[in-house]
Amino acid sequence: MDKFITVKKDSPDFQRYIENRVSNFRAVPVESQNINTELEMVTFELKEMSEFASISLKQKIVPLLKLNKFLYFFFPIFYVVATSWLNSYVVDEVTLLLSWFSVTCLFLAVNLRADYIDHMIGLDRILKKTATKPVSLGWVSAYRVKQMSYVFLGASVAMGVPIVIAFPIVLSAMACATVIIFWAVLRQRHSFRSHLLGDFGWSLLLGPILSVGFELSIRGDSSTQTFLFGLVWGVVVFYRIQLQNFEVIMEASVAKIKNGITWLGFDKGKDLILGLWVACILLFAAFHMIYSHWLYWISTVILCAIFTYRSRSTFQNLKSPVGSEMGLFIKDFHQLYVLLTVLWAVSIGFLFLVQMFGKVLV
Amino acid sequence: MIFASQDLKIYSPQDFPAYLPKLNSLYDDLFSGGKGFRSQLVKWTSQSLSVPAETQKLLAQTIEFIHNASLLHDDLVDRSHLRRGKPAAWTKYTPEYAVLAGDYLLARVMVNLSRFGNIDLVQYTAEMISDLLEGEWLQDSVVGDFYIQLEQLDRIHELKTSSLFKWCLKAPLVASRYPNKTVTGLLEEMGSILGQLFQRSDDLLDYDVRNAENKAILGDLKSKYLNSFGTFVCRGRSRDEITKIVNSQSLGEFKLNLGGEAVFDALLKEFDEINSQKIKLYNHLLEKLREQLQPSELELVKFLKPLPDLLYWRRK
Repeated sequence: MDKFITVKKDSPDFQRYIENRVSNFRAVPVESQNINTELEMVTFELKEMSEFASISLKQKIVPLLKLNKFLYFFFPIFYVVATSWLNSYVVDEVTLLLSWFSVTCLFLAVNLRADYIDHMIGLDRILKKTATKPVSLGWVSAYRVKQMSYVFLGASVAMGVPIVIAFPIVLSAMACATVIIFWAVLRQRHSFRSHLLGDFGWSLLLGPILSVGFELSIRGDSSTQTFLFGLVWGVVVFYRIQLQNFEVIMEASVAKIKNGITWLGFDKGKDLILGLWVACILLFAAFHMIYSHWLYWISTVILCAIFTYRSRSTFQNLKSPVGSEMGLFIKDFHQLYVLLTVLWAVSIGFLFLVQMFGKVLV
Repeated sequence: MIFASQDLKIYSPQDFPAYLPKLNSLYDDLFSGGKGFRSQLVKWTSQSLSVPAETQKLLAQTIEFIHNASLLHDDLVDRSHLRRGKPAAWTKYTPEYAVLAGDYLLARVMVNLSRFGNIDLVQYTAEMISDLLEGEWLQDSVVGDFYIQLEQLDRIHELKTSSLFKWCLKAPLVASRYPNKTVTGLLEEMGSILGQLFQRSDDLLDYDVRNAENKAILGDLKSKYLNSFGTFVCRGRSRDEITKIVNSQSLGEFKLNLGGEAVFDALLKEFDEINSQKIKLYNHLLEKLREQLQPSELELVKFLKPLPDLLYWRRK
């Protein structure tokens, strides 16, 4: 077997190779020309299945499940469930479980579909650093990923139907989510190089729509607190997405991909990350001023400020979009995002304590 | 195949205004001594595809002007005192003259190309110059970064080095409005691989590997620049280990800090193996190219076949 094969997009074999619907071997794209145009030509390296023997199931599955993004959608759900309990709202356990599984399956379906599209349009060949490795490196076939996305979508719908019957109002959140998924997120396929609205769409989806939608699905109603939480969380998600965009600013700029970061450029993009982070802290503080004990919000804001100050050297040292400093910058600013989330989770724990021993603390 | 003899007249003092002091003597120094490899690439590709001689000359001159302009600027940016064994232009003349002479060459390129009248060629060349400058800029931004990864350096080299090689193979097709876009795409990919191979081989000279040119040993490291092989041997090591390695004062010390001569040789073998995979890919693309060419153009395949040997393995 020849080690390489070059296939043009208009060839009948193109779909078969790019989706890896080939038997006994895997086709891994190694060189691409005119990506996502009619003139696209891809050279695949043909690898025997035995070459993937050392790749564990965990290595294949974990990146596909997007555990690094799990927090995006897990945290709003956790928040809604916890505050429902704190506010003594009546929530049926079966409804809660069905909603939880339905949203989880939808999250997986959308992510798998996005991985599939990124692979098909060649985005994972351009932005290699942020690509989902199991698909881009041929560990799992793109075709299988597409099938899995359908399975999860089907499961999500199946579990979502009883919820909609119980609380028809959930349909409004579902409609918003569907519009955003199809219009802003999946439109990448058609506007390959424009990601401006896609990022905004993800933030809306994982912020207010998910929070309010999930609360509607478990108790048929939603509170202002949940909506405000969703808005703040949306900004936090937006910050995290921009951080990821910043990590690949060079590759995206060279490939003429438009997003907020490539539009601003390296220096202003770096400032945007800092600005968004400061906005996250301020919104976090404002939210907790309203909904948390004053002791908590003051101490957490001070803690955030200390950690932000600690990251100033990585911010100041970052002088190039390539090089090792970028990795340190991304790691540091990602840790700030994790810190904020942990503090938020602790705030809920704090509220539990206040509820239990409130009389003593207040 | 030997490219040492330069039978294309690239530079003529008549092309430049004689009333400007020192300009022509600066160019005399600059254009003498170079191998003219890039212009030879252009010439061979053009000849195989029956591109008219006048166009060949224009293209060869274009690539040499751009390459030499980048050298003028590069030497000043890197504060290199020698170029081809002679004082660099910025030291012999002035930094201001070196910058202006480089700018003038680039301006000349645009004058010559626009006079030729093929707007696609003008655009493609301007894009290549942009890529080259972006690569130079990025390279300067990572000077002193000894913890950079090979993939990150590759991206810089793709812009800085490969863009010129791609241009050498593709520009004759753009200039002659060659109709088969598949051939253009294949040559562009092959040019990109040749650029990477050339860069990596050039980086190996720094460690006295296949260094028939007697290039200065550890020159890049001493300029605080960790090149592709340096990055490769440092991968997976701790920051302390890397600091020790990059502070080596001699090649012997460098090898010792790596773990000894045997470790160095094993890493070199591994590096060569990675690049051999690139050569295999190049050869695959060459076969695809052969299928696409007309019988009268097959000379191009013969010319392109030995290039990886020449550029990576430095076999004459």
